[in-house]
Amino acid sequence: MNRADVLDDLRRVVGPRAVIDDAATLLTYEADGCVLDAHAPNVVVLPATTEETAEVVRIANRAGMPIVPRGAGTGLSGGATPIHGGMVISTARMERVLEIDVRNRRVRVQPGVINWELSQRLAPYGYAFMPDPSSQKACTIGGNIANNSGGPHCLKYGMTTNHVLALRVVLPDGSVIWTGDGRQDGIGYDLAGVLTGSEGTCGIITEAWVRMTRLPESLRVVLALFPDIPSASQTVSTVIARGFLPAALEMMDQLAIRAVNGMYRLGLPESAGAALLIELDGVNDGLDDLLAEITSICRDLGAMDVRPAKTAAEQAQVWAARKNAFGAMGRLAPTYYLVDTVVPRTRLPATLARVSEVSREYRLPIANVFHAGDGNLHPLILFDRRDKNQLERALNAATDILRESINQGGVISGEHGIGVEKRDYMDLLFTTDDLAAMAGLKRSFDPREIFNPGKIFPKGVGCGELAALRRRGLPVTDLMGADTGSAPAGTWL
Amino acid sequence: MTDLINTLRSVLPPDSVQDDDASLTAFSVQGIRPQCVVAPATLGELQTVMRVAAEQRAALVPWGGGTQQWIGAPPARLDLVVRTTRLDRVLAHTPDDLTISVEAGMTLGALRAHLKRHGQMLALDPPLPDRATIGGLIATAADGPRRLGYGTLRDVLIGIAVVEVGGRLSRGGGMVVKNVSGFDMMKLYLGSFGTLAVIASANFKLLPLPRAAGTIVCRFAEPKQAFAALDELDGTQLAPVAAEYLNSGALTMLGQAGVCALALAAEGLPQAVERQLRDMSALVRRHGAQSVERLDGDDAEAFWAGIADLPQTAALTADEAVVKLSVLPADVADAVARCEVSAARAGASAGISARALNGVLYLRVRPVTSASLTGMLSDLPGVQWVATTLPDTPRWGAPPQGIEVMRRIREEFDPLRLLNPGRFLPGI
Repeated sequence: MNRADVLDDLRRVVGPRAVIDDAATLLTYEADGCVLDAHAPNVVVLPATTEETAEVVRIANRAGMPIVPRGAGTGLSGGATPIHGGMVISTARMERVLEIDVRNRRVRVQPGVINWELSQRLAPYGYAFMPDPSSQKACTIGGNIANNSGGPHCLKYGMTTNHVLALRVVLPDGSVIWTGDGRQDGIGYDLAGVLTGSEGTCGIITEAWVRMTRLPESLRVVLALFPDIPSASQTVSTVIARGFLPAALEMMDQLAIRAVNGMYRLGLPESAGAALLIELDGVNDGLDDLLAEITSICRDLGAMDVRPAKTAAEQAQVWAARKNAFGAMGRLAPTYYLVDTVVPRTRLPATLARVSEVSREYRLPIANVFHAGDGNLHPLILFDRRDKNQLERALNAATDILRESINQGGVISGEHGIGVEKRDYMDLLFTTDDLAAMAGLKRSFDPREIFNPGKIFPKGVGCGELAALRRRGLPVTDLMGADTGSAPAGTWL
Repeated sequence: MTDLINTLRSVLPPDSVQDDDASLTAFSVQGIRPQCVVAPATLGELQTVMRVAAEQRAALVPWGGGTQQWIGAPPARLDLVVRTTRLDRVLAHTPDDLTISVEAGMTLGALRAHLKRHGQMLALDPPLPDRATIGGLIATAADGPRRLGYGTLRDVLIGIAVVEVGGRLSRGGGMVVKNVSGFDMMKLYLGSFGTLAVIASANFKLLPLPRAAGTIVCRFAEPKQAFAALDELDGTQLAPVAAEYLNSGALTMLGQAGVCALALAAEGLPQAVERQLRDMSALVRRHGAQSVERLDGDDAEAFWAGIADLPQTAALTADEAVVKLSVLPADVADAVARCEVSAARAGASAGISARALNGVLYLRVRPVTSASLTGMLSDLPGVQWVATTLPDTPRWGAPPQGIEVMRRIREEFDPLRLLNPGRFLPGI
């Protein structure tokens, strides 16, 4: 198929304005929030319905193009970056909340619905969509599902996967399935479960039934200030170990405090080495006693000050500071590299100590703003990317931090995903056999590796070869439909 | 199959391979006798078993506590039963992390006892915890009444290790509570009924034992009053951890009388528990509850253990069936009524326990025949699985969309069709 024919076909399906092929606009789709390995697509298509999406996928198949699904492009691991070119399918025109079913606590949405807007729509009923990534005012539900996104309230309410009931998916061959209808238990393999967090490598989500969660009757927010990171991280560890389950338990270090202080006029003492934001929720009864217990742990472990945010306005201000802390980093350096990693919660103090060492070794400031209660660190390596030497030091510092978190029994991503950014760390964490099982799963959906090729698996390691490994040693003559793995879809045109 | 037995004996300690008559009878699966029963004691031995199984093309059934082997269809072929019972160790538990890693053959009861010593719990309450193993519970995605408050295995399983046919060990997830490093393999094996791999070990996130707990049992003269109460409860900001609807048949099985009842549990801070029980009592009384009985401590625990066991499938009489149904929460009242009507039409009594706010129901019926059960099933909404000793009845509900993808998953993971062949959904 030649280029003009493909574009004609696409325009016929989605309309002329929903196909982008001019070089300047294509460049705006060359990356998501992760600017490593940027690569422009050959075409961007914005279907408005499931049917259009399916037709677009079939056209891409005929043209031999790889397909990269894209929500708002706020991802931080390069999941929406078309590293092999091809077609980007944007969900931007599928942005409707289709059905709010309060009695069954489920809401049916198109993938382009903005996370924050969904919760705003549910608020009048007294409900919310609980996953709340820091980018929630821009990121989409489809992107949240593809990345199994987290957020501060995951500590109590779970990740996106815990809130997905059923998905409507256009599979790589252009067929369309619903994995369920919003009932809590399904039949057969849990396709919605494995698709959530598969980073657009198995198909594209065009609708979803997600859970709506009843807003709590009451909540309390406090900010506890500590002299240093060790005392604050010890407090986190102790609060968890003693069996408290706050709704959120977030930490900011001194650099971050300075950055947000200026921006949000919190008046926090800049001598404080760390701040802990603690939120408790539930029925009102007993909540104050619980808060008193946690406050007492904070003081016992060295908190300089514990400040309750009493009014809704004060609470909103504290949360705004936390959620916009990344933006405030612009006050400190031209660029930051956010390293998303998780360790067992008792290993927080040791891991953070190592992060400080890494900062000294590479002579780059590192700020910490993170989901402490989950053990989910977000060291922000501050540097100037125009300086090649600084860039290299930043990348090496990130590698050291990821290695340290694996050494501490942790993993390489808590909520941002693997994408391109971390694919070459996968074999530090997983064996070839582990990866081969994942490749087998991916190929069950996408045997020709059309969807989001080059993601998750280490560079140069084909899913086909990995999956074929699993059959090695098995009596091959008995295998049904055994194949040696077909070549991945080539770069288009 | 002497090759299979001899090969296994040559590579494993002799006492781990059994082929005596008593063993083969005890480990028959839905009346089908295996040639051999093997009980590996280490992960390495399990890998060896799975390698030999592939070499010998031995069809196998993984066997944990054996409490759920009547769910689904009988095996199309059976050479080998692989017991996990000797894989029963705690592999890692740092209490302050609130995570644990255990081998698949550990019983839930043993795990509970271990955790209780540390003031912790795995918030699961499926049937027969003292016999059911972690691996079996994962394979069947078993649930319990407290899923309303704590979620299911789907929400607490954070890591898994499996042994594939051929002996390959693969892992997914980890020992952290939040993780998107690669595909969510836990979701793949959970509820796969032993058709993709044998589960070797699993990691969970834990919770502290609640500081306080309380239960109320609310009896109603009419089901519609109970469901109206549930409707209102669902709209409040109260947070019961369980809300089980019990019909007359279920109450009888629990040694109680009455038309129907709601069992409601609250757990957490003492003040919050008292407040919730108080508000829920008032709420059910407004909807006409005839009585509200408070249960605490051992009484409450025993009562909930009884409810959890209602859908057990380990001991089924020759004329009995247990059916799992999943519907939307708003459709539970209708589903209960349809179960009762169709059971009555078949001349059977029906015990129904429903996780009413989750939309999950368990129906126990007897006496039924193959014909009457088959007729009943065609009337019921949202059938998931059927457990019965009766031959020639449907064992699974209607095939879902995506069955073609499921078939390909099966082919990728079990290309020789050796794992529980014929037992899972037709077409997979």
